[in-house]
Amino acid sequence: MKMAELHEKALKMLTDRGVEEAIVTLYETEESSVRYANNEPTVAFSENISTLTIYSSIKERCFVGSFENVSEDFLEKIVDDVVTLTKNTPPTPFYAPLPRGVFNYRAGKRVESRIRQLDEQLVSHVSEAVRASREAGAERSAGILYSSHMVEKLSSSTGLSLQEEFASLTLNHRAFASPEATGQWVSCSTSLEGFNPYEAGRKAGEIAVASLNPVLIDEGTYDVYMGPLIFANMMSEVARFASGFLVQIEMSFMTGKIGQKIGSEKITIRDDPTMPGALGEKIFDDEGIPTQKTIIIEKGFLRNYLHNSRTAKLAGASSTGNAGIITPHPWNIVVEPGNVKEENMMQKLGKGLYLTNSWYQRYQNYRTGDFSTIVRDGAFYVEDGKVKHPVKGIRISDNLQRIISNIEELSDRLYPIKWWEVTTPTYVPTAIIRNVRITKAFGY
Amino acid sequence: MNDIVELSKKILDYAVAAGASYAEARFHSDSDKGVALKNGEVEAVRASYEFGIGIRVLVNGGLGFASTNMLKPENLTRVVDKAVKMARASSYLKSSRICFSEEEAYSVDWRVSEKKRLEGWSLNSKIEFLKNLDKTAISQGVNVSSRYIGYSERRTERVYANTEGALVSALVPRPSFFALITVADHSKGVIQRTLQFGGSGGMEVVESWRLEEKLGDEVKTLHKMLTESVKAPEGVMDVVVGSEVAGIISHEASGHPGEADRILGREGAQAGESYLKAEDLGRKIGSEAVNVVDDPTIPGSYGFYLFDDEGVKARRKFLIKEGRICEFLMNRETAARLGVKSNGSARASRYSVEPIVRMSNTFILPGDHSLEELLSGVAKGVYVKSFMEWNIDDKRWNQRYVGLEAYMIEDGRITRPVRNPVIEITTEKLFSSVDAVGKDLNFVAATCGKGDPMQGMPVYTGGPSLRMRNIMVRGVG
Repeated sequence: MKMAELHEKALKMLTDRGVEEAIVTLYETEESSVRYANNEPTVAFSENISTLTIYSSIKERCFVGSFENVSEDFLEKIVDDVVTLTKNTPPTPFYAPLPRGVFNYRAGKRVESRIRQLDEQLVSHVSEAVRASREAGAERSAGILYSSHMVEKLSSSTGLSLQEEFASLTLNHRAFASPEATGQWVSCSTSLEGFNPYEAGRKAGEIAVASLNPVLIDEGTYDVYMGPLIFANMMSEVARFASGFLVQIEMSFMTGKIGQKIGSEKITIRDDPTMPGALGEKIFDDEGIPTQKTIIIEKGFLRNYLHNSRTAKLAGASSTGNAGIITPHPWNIVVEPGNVKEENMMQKLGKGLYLTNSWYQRYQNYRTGDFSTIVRDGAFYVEDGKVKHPVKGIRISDNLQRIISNIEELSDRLYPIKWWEVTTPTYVPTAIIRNVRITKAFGY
Repeated sequence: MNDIVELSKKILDYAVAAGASYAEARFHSDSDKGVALKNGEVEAVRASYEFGIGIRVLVNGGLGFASTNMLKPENLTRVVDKAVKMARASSYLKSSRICFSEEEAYSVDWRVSEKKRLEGWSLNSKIEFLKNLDKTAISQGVNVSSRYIGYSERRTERVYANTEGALVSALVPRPSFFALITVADHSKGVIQRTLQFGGSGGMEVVESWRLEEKLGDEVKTLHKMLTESVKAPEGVMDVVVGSEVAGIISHEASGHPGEADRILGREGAQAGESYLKAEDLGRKIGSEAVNVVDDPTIPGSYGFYLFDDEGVKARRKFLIKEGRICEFLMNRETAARLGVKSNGSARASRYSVEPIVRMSNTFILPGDHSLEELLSGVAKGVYVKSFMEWNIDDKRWNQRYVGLEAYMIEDGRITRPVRNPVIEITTEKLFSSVDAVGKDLNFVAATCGKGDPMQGMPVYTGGPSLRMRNIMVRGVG
């Protein structure tokens, strides 16, 4: 039996055995990747995996599961377990009926099928990125290049039968001009034409070389110019906190703030899986609802949380097409660009810090948004709109709502960012943020 | 089992015929069942089953790894072909060949026993158990505005075979518990705490956590810290940290930088490198009171294993001995690069990822001081018993821990609660400032993240209370 038939068979078996509502989704993933360090490949991966996810409910008793022991032999056991667990679960007040109705799905999504067959060619793309960093003056490079292809097939007891295909290339490249002078850049694309490993290698190399001989600075409050990587880190966190689930368990600084001004008038953030060709383009969510463009923050005002049917019911709202069965989440985060030319942003900053990347963001309190994060890769002290010298050993120790409230300018260009630290595709401009609290370690 | 062993042998033979100088096959199954309560009500019951194979090959000095969960013979040969093809392609760019250290090829079956079987614990009983915990949390006379608590149990089974004759099978059941608690006060705002417990074994492990007592204590402590704490003192002073803080220090400032793959640059673009270099064995990094070990062989621990995912026998490693760097964590690849033998630190979180260098149970060894003795030597300082926020730079040099439960120490005694004291310090300064070590060894379960693709790995962090002299403390807000 073909995989395509397996999920439909699972759905039929579940409904035949008394499951009232079910969504069965099959994900067929093919992924190749090359990791590299010290300018050479360290390992090449290939993955060929099928995953079946099942949501089932009987009289408001709910089960969610994920199965990677997918074969006809196992199907009987999977279905048995799902039915038994669903029946034995107490009813949940968080239950919401599966959405029904006539849905209109966007047509015309284009997928670059050639990405699927790259395999050994990935090594030459890696080689290109490494060469570019060397030409820029960096000693060595490390990174990973993924080529991913996935087909998602969803069938539900409400009569849905949907299919969507995805393909992307994502390169995360870090260049080292010395152990403490590093630069990082990414190239992420859903098309071969839009993928540019050389450019990622060159930019990472240039940042690394500019970071040579960094110095310590005083801690305090600085105006900061954030490049696309660090700003994507911040904004993907902001958008993540709009999840109705996180809001409802008070794991979000946005809890209870709909309609309130929580950011600068410059900031508008939306989840936009309808963006053609975007890394996070998505036609339907995990409940089979058509996805949509949802404004999260509009000119500083919190407009919407991201909902699935469950969190929407609890909030007295409608689903925004962001299921996750349990946890709604953004698909494709977009920060509205500003109108300042990127080349003028440093001049607008005047005096302060230019930061290119951050990593390891942790919270003292999710409800308040108090956090700190390590500044890594290129970080520079700026005066009169010009870089004076690189800096090292600093951390942003601030509050996420304060950060978005202090956004003063956004540039006019969007960068697509997806990497180890930003797992949801995020499109951001660069940003000037006033009065950012910077700390450093005792003992330097 | 016999079928899998036979299949593994066929796969390895096929890989060699396809051009691999070395090959290994790891059948890896994980079944995970869990339930979570949101504010006392069941959210949903969940389960995940994974069963697949990871195949790793060396071809012309290039390393390839391929995985699949479609285990029909024709697909498996395709997967091996792909691993060989990718390894060969990557070998063309290599200036030196990857090789593995020579190790004894064990043929062994090891498993963690359950004194009280988890399977005998019904779903309804687990839900009742969680509901009682939730009731405990909300019956402490304080406003617990939000609770999200969950229990899960994971059963991992592996069969590992390589072309050198190793054959290792294993079974580990791991129960775990987590909680996110928010306590609110109308005038003081909110305070939050995340808790994680985990171990290997059966119900007896869960019982040993004494969750009801601990959850009740945590809620009361959170309320006290929220309503009674004053701004933390600032300046250079003595600090005593509890086991939980000592544990995260051992993990972040000793364990991670001691991973040989980081030291050799293999994690450069992701988790980063290390303040340590390959020639740093013997380097003084702290006072003689500091001894850090990584030990996967502790019975019942969350990071327990007896053979790693390259078939190498596990053992205790001294990472720091009397303040000096003593040993790195190594797999076979990094050990070969360093000209030594592996110390059994290779772990893979699931079938679809390669084994990489990981910690297991990393902790600071206890000394001989009671907490009272540690405190008695402090005229003015802070006692940081627990933390929420922390992070460390990618060379593991510049770290920050923000206290959650914390108190002033005045004239050798704990006095007022203080709000979020911040320790932001370099690794050498931190370890060098330790002048006395408690005898109260405790462990905390954690999930360590590393690798790309990301691998979450069950570990213990641990340690005794530590006293640090003359370090900078700052307050927040």
